[in-house]
Amino acid sequence: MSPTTLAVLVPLAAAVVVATVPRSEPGVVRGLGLLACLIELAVIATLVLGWDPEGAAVQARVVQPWLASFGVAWSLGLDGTLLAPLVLVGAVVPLAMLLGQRPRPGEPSPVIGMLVVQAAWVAVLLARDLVVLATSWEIATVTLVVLLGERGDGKLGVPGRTAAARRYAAHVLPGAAALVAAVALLGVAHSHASGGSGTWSWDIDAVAQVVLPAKLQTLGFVLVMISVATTLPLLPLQGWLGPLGACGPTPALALLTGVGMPMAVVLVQRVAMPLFPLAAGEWADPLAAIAMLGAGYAALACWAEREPGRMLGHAALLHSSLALLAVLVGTTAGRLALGPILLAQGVGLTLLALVFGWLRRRSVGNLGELAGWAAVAPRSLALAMAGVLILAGLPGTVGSFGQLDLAITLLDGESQLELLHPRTWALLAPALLGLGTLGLLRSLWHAARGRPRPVLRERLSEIDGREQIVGVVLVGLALALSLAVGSLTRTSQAAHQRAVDDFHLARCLAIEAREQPRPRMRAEFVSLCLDPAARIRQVYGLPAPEAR
Amino acid sequence: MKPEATTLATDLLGFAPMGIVVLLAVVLLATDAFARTREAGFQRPLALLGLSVAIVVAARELGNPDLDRGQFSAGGFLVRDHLTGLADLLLVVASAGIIGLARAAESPARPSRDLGEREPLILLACAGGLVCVHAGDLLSAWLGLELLGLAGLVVLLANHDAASNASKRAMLVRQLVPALLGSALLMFGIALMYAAIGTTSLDGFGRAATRVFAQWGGIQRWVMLLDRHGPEVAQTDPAMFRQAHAEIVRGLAPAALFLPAMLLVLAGLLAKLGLWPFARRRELDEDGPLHVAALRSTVVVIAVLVVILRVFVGGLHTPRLVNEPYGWTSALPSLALVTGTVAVLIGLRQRRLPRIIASLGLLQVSLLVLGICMAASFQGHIGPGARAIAPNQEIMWSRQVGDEAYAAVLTLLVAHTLALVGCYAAVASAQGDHGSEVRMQHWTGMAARRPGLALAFSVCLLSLVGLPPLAGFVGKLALLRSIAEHSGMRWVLVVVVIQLAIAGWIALRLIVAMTFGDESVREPGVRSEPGPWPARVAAAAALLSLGLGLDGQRLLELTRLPAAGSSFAPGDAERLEWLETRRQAWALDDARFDEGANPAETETGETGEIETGEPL
Repeated sequence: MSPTTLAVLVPLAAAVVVATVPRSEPGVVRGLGLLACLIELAVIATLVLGWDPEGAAVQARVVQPWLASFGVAWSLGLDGTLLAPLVLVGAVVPLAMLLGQRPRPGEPSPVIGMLVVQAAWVAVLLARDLVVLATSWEIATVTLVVLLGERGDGKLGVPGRTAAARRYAAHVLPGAAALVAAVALLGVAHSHASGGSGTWSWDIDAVAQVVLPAKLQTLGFVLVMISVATTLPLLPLQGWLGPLGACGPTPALALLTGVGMPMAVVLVQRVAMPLFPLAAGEWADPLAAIAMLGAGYAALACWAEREPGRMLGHAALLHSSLALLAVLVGTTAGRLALGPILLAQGVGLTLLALVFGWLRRRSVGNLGELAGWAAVAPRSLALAMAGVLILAGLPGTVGSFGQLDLAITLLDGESQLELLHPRTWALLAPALLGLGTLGLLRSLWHAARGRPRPVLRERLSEIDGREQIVGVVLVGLALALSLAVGSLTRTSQAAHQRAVDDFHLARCLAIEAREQPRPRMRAEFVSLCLDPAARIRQVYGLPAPEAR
Repeated sequence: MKPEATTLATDLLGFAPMGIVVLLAVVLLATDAFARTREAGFQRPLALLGLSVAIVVAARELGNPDLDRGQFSAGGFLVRDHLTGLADLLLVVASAGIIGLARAAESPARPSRDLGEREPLILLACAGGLVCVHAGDLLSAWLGLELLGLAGLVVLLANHDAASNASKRAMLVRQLVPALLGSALLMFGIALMYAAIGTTSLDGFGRAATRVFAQWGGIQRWVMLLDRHGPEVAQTDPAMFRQAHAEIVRGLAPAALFLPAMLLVLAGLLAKLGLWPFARRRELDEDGPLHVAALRSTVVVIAVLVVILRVFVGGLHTPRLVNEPYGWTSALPSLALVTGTVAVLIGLRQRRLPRIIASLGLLQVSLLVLGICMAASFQGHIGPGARAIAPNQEIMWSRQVGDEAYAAVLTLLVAHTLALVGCYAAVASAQGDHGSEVRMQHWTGMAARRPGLALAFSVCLLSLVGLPPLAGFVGKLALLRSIAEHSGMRWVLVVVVIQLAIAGWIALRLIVAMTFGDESVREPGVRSEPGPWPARVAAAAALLSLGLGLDGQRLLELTRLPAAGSSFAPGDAERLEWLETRRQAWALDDARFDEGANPAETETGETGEIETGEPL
């Protein structure tokens, strides 16, 4: 069996096995889940380490017919641009599984759901067929909604959790359905472009060969962006983030903020940009502006917020916005920066979810009440500080490389074809990141200093050993990934370069075909775009880069 | 080439499922009359045994090459083709599920005399549905619908607590109004149609309808003459004036009768279906016994939809009859969208499980009607001019995508039937008060109490809202693909997406409550043990929904044959030619996929390692 298939099936099979274990054995359930995640990590490591930078664009490919009449196939393959997100899913899920309170016998275990979510996310990353991708996205979304509603109902439930999960569902379910609709549009367009009779395919590479007319590009791009904007989230659709941060179960929150939100960025990179290049190119700058607005809002909220869960939500929004900016840059350097940024986000937010979840379990709803935290529980405070610094890109951690690369890329505005004001974003992004980080550190600092009240000592014992170990592993992971990130970048550079070139060619062809009434195949008029970058600059009046 | 004449033996074999069901109903009525001991559900084993035979017989008809051309039988009163083969199977499976889930309403403390007519009445309703799907004449369709409606009503009345108090009796009377209105509209429409075209037979129905408009077109020269020179002609040549007048009346009258007739028949069928504004049916679904609600949500829907597909998509798909300004699909998509929106909004506020299921079922019905509009619109495509695809391929394209939209409706119908039967069966297998009183809070924590039942219910619910990888998803994908194909209806995608998202939200709310809720709230009331049958039906429906989702290709193969040639009348020689063309295309597709040669590889020159295998 191919490692790509194995990467999807291992968590799924484990979920089935775990589901048969009686509820009276929560320890066994968690142990089995963890074991499955470690096997999955090994499979992912095999895939990533086996990637040949000079090989095919898609490697370890598997094609099995599913809905043959529709041209839908269980088609998986590894794309070199997705190595970092794959590592993120493999590394964060097992750690998130260990967070939260110890499972009690008789209660339903979230481990099954977490394994299903992991399988679905891996399938989203490896899918070479758009229907498989949208299907996996929908399964991940639905399962995450169920996980977030865990123990929300009834007398023993957590107050507000059900309402928060419902709010989340009300946002992301239309997004998931919109993605399916966008995929349907693309399949139909491919059928029309390829002759209109009997040639159905949702294969990403095949669909990418279709040049859509302008109106269809806009409709499809909007549908995909509904999915992205609700999951990321983009301003003003961030309404679910605060309540969920305040009430959501810790493991599911760690999954959502650490992996789920970065997956929305991956969706932009995998679907929105390559398949709707015209709309993506024209909307890149407005989207960057919206992302920066979101980052600004989150940065300011980090200063004002005292509720730990909501603070986690704001931190997630701030960093997701920066990740979106990285993907919108549309240059190889920008895309290379995205990997470390996503990894830092995954590790940092999981760490924050761990500490803030622990605070919520201790009924700390306001960091202002916590004067003297450093004296009572110094390790948890250290972990929280570490989380904030990893997110901020502390030199030596994985995020520092990404953020530095992003800033340099943006400052080199002349190479930009998508963003119209790259230098503005280059100044704003680090400023907002710094502002938000300072806000978070200030809140933690205020909570840490001073002498603790006697009541606090009774209420706030140190974070338990299991979570301490997870925290240390996360910090170690941030450091270890910083060592590995150079190799990861070098390995995936060619793939990113190929993706960027292909995107610009697709954009140029879409410009040429914007007045066409029907979708066409690239091959019909590819000769019109011998120098895509020059053509894009000419159409949008962008300055030519100076000769160096 | 004329079709071969049918013999009595082939007719009997062809309509065997209908014969078995009718015979079974008669036998069970006799058993009921002479039975001495009456225990709860004492007729069920025999009914299920008989239906199993009917299922086997109906399944053998699937893909039978003798049905390729289709043929009218019994003097044109009935028809047989691949569509009837699939619908037969679906109807008998749904009826078996309904009989399996039906429960008596009595409590152990006060056992009632169990009525043995429930099973025969459900079988009679099934027989009515079978007559509808085999209808080769509008009158046989009407008779089938009436038999179905009456059997449904009597099975409701036969249940003791359905008319146990004044409010329930009043509700019963109220729900009769739309049913009777539907019947009246249908009958009136059929009468007008007979007046317009001189026949109610579906054999040559499309041609007769086309002739009406040809006549209308033929008098246009007289209309122009009188319009331009009417007074002069009246003065100079009164005889010619009278002749022109008579010609106009003669040419116009059939069309003037046919158009309202068509709309009345459609309105009657929609009333039977329970589309908005005839959605009063849900009140019945709320207070009626679960097997009646299931009967109305599945058997009635299958029967009515097949009649609409046969009469409207199959017979009335010429551009003039389909498209605006007076085509029958003009307002139908809007009506379907309003129905879907009303359904999900009702579902949002509901706590009673049968009502939630009914509202999700109504959303499905609205999607099915939307699919019917797509199929008819493609079949009635005007031809080159839309410029969406190359003009030389446009006619072929419209016929093909028309068939695909038709297949999407059938796929969704199969998924809808299985999921709804499963949902109702799951609710019926709960203990406590009778089905309609079961609320969400009674099912909280069900995953801990009865994990198998909760899982089956979740699978059926998720299939109902079209979540992957279940059968409902395959139907949803097929429908969305058809909508995306229609350049004039792509905006509908946005509305459908929102409706499906809300439906998903409703289902998830229930699943979260079942999985993580407290186990402290149990169903109210005391009732005898449900027995194993409802849970078995729920499990079977869940397994089928999962199996037909994972092996979605099998489901698509099941529906593509009945859909192919949907634009040709049964018995039409062109139908055979078209089917042959389609079979060749399918063989090519299948071969391409069997080799694992997805077009992507050939087009992009992919060099990655490819591993192929059998369909999932």
